[in-house]
Amino acid sequence: MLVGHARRTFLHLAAAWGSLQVFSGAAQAAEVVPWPGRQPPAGLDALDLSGRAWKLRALRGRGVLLNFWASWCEPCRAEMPTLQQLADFYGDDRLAVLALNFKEAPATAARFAARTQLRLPVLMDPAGEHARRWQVKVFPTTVLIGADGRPRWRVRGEMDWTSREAGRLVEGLFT
Amino acid sequence: MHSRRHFLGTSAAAALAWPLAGAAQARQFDPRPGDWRTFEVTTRVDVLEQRGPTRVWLPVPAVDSGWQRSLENAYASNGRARMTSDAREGARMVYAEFDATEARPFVEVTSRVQTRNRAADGSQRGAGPQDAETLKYWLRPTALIPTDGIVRSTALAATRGARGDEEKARAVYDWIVANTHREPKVRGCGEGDIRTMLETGNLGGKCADLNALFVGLCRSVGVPARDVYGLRLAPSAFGYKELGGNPASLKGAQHCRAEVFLQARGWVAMDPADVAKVMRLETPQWIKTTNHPVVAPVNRALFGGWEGNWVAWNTAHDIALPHSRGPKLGFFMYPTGENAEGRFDSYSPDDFKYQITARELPAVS
Repeated sequence: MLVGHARRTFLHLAAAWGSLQVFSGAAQAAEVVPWPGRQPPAGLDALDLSGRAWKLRALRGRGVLLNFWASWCEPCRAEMPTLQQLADFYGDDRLAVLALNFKEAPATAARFAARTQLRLPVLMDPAGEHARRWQVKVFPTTVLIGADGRPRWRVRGEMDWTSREAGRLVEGLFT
Repeated sequence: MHSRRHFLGTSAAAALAWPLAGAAQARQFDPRPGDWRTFEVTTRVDVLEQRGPTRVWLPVPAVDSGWQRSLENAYASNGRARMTSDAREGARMVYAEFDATEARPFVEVTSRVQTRNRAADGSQRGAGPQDAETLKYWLRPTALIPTDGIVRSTALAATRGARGDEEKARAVYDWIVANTHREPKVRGCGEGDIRTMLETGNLGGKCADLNALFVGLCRSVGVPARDVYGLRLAPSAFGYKELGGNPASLKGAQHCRAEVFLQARGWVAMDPADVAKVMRLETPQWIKTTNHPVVAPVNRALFGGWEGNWVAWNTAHDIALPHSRGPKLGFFMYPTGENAEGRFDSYSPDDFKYQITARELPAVS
């Protein structure tokens, strides 16, 4: 875990590079791109499978990972366990990890969650409106949002969320 | 004893050499237009979890041409079923709706169709000259097939130096064959639009529709083109396992082909996606060159031709299914269902179960 000066140095270097290729597998990479500074967050107003409403501004004070996924997307399914592990490690009082399902029926998403024992909140995006607003065309895509409500990173593609690289990104959400 | 050991030794060597020798042997793939083949294709859908009123749509053949005759359809259901079509693109289908009280909804459709091979030598021409409005229609972008941005820049690079529509089509065909099924840059999936495919480099597997990419690249450089969505019905007569279907179980045998309109030849068959598939999957090794004896005949013949072991459902894009409350479909090639909670996953056996079978009938004149 990076602390203090070392963590700030990491963030400055990453921004200077423009984007960071993080290797999660032999031949493929997740693409990590800093969120454009002037672009405001697109907002979140979605229901989860139990009918609870989730809004981004209500999550201020916590880091947020907004993960766009679908059950037909094999890389999405592959990274889910590590997202669950990440959420369990930090606890939901520090980090909200939200799995926003793209355009599937609630029963399909619920079946996937039950089969995989997923405990993350599963939010629904039945018409793809959130994906459109957040400019998500590749699945999985994860937007990392700081405790101050400002998006920091966009991760396109599958990532190992238990990796050191992922840890560095997440730690930066709490400053 | 000596002769037996000698025999066993040489047999063992022969057994080791045989798979390699077989894989490298030249194969033949030369579909020629010939007699019509007649098939009956049966699709049965069972809705497994009845959760309120349910609607189901099954495609039926809607193409009539020099290489396909769409004949009659019969259907049975414990709901209310009827033949219908989408309002704009001419995709025909059986539509069935079920009340919440129906415990085990089902619908079964049997379609009769005749098909035959298409040739690569132009001996079987298309439908003749097309009017300008028709050709303009087959140049348009669709929701999943944009023709600007990275699609157009990719097509321009691929067709640099090509003169005339046939050279452009050939250049795009060769580009698809050469560039697809490589390792993607980003391990992720698009929704099926060709722009995201190009941006991520994810050009293989379920996430890609390579012939849609072919069509989009052709359209973006002014060559009218269209996808033809359908289903494999029978094994390939030329022994290519990747180019046929098992008629006893065709539920995963959906396949999209393509056509381009060439001024000198009319509508011409194209299937670069199947060339890429043979390269990737026909032998245990991934074949990386079109000169390989297994690939070369397929690469040659699928530019301009294809086997008649496949039925075309339609050439439709952006389909508004009649009576649906859901969004338009990018294409209609699979049984589709929905209830109040939304669309079923056509790939998931948990929502609804379907099976497709075919049988070839004795020749009908």
